[in-house]
Amino acid sequence: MKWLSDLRSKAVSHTNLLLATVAALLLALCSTVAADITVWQQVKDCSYLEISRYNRRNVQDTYTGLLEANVAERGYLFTGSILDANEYYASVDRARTAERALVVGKFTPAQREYLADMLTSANNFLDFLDQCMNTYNKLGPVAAGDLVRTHKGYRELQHIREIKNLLRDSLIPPTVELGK
Amino acid sequence: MKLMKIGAINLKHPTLLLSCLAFILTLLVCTIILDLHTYSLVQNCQKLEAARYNRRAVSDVYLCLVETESAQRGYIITGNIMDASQYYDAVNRVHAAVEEMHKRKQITPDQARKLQELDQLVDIKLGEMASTIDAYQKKGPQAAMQIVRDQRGLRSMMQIKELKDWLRDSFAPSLRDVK
Repeated sequence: MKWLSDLRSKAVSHTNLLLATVAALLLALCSTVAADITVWQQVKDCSYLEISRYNRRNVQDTYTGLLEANVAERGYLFTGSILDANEYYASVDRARTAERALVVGKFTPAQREYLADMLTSANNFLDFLDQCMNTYNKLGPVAAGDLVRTHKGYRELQHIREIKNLLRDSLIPPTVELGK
Repeated sequence: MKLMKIGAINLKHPTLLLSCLAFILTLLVCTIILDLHTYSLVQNCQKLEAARYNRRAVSDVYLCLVETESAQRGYIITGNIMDASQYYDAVNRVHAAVEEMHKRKQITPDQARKLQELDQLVDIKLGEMASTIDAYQKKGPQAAMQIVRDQRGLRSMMQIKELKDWLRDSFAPSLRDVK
């Protein structure tokens, strides 16, 4: 009867092996699902970061465009040179292009408020620069200088800088928020 | 009857066992492939991050320089202390941004050469602006305006802008580069 007991013990060991294999398979499945969830989360975080970066870049480009326009306008008031005038109009175009890219970006309601504030100030600032250019062309450098000395442009630019910094900071997602 | 049942289990189980083993092996191979992909993704992310860092550093240098120029011109027009302090603040920010730019990561020899050129041009531009401020304080607004009128500042700023654009573009790796 020894052959019978051998056969029975072999069958039992095969069953154990089979059970162990099934358990291993289940474990592998679980870890694959967990890995998939992690990868999905990472992809979500990456797209969030990508949107933030895109918005930050446009905020920066808008601000740079405004500053360049300011420098070129002041250059024109000093020199009356066509080079500075061209640079002024090119800078205004760049600022407007960056503004348009900003408007179509994805923002939270709080960021939208900052953005609206920044864009209003940017428009006021560009209007003021235009006014200075027109004054120079019509009334000369002294009148344009007097207009600059009202500090309207300075105050507007200071406000834009503050809003830009707030908006930029709000666009950096804190590490703890990622992975939620 | 009992013997026949045990024999049947014996015959069926090895086939099932082999199938399971084959499945596990396939799963293992898939996992290794996934790992390799993840590793290459992480490497690409590091490259992109370095490129972004460099782009941001170059843009910051340019932005601070424009802020400095804006304040410098404001000061020459208005003579206002607010513009003067803004000018000195902006100069400090330029130095900080240049220092940050020196921590550049993973750059090509071409990019290194252009960064060095940018460094020199930034020094020239800062020197030109400092000379106008100096002229304003020592000789008055007309002397400062005279320096601005000779367009040296405009030319160096245009060169800086060109370099900045070149560097920014070169630090934007296309998907083709990220392999």
